[in-house]
Amino acid sequence: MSRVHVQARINGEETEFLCEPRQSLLEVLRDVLMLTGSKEGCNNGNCGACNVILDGRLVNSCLVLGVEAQGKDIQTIEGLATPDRLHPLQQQFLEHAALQCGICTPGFIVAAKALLDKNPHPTEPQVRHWLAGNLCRCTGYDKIVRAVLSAADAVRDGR
Amino acid sequence: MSESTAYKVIGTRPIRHDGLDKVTGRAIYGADVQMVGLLYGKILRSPHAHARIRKIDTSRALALPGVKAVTTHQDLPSLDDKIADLGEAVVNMRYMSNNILAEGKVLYKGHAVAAVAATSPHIAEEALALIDVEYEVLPPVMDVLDAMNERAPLVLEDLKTSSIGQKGDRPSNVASHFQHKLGDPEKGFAEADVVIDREFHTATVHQGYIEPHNATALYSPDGHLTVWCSTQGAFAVRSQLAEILQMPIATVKVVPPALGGGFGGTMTY
Repeated sequence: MSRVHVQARINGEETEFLCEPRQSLLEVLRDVLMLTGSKEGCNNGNCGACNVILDGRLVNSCLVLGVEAQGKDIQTIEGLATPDRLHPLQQQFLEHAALQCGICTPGFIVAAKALLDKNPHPTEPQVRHWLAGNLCRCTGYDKIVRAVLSAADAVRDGR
Repeated sequence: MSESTAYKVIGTRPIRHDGLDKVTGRAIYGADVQMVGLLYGKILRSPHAHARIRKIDTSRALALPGVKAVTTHQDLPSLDDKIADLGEAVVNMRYMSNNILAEGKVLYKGHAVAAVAATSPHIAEEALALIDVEYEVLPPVMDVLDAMNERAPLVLEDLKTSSIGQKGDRPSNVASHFQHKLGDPEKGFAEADVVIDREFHTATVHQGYIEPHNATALYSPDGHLTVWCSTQGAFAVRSQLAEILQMPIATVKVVPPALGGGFGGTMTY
């Protein structure tokens, strides 16, 4: 099958890749661009492990085609930390022990990033409602919610 | 400060050692293992709960560009009944091998019948549709109580019940009969004020970890096999691979990467 040339901005870098029209954005990220931080859990939009931010909107990358990325801005888990500093969400997930096996963690952190980008001071119900599209089977959700609220405080305080 | 701060560990909030890799997406799970020339596998599964496999024709699938191999049970070594203790359970290796790729019969809907390796998962999936399997559909056994009926269709035609050290004299769907005994239960019941006798049924359940089962294998021309797979029991997987593939165990290496949950459900593979 012939491949399509796609240009997109991924984690701030202008990126070009070739993909088959039938490949999902998740496949492109993982298998073409080697950005394996986005995870495949269900591959049908239920678990949120493949969450990325596409032009400011939170999406399940397993439900987006790679060719749809043309001209778009994409943020993945790999783009959150700088070489010398974690994103406050990453730091708070660590400090609140909001992860165990970690397979859902990139999706949760990216989803939470999309929330804080829109609403820097969410209430606890808002956080819980926003994260309803992400499944975790190890920690339960409480520590994750606390980590997100704490990260919102950290962003506000400039920590 | 409380006195507990005098302890090195108690009262502290340590950050887990694998945490940094997991919050940055750097942790390598089984499906994240990448290598040059990586092929993708897909499995053709039985649509029938019980059927005899009359014929498998893989030629059309093999002819599809991008398909590198199509395997069926014929490609696995033929194993005699060998009972192996694999840590959590004692298993008959022949049954285990037949469960990986069905030999002769399929025993449940979803039983693996053939496997394809191709240059992309999409090509592998297309190839599955090109494998021709001829089944002779047999009456299924759908319920455990029905299965114990003497006139039930036999699932494993050579299985005889093992009962407290003895083997039954004819085939049965009952694999084993065991007893735990302590004291005199009849006397206890006779003396009890109330005896409650009920039967309970539950659905079959399986652990709900998020990471799908996965494995990446590298076979070298020197006869060594390395497997990266989602497992809670790397040594059990190594033993099983060595037995099923009939390879010396020293030539098989199993690497457990980060594991996306398991809760006991990924104990072996």
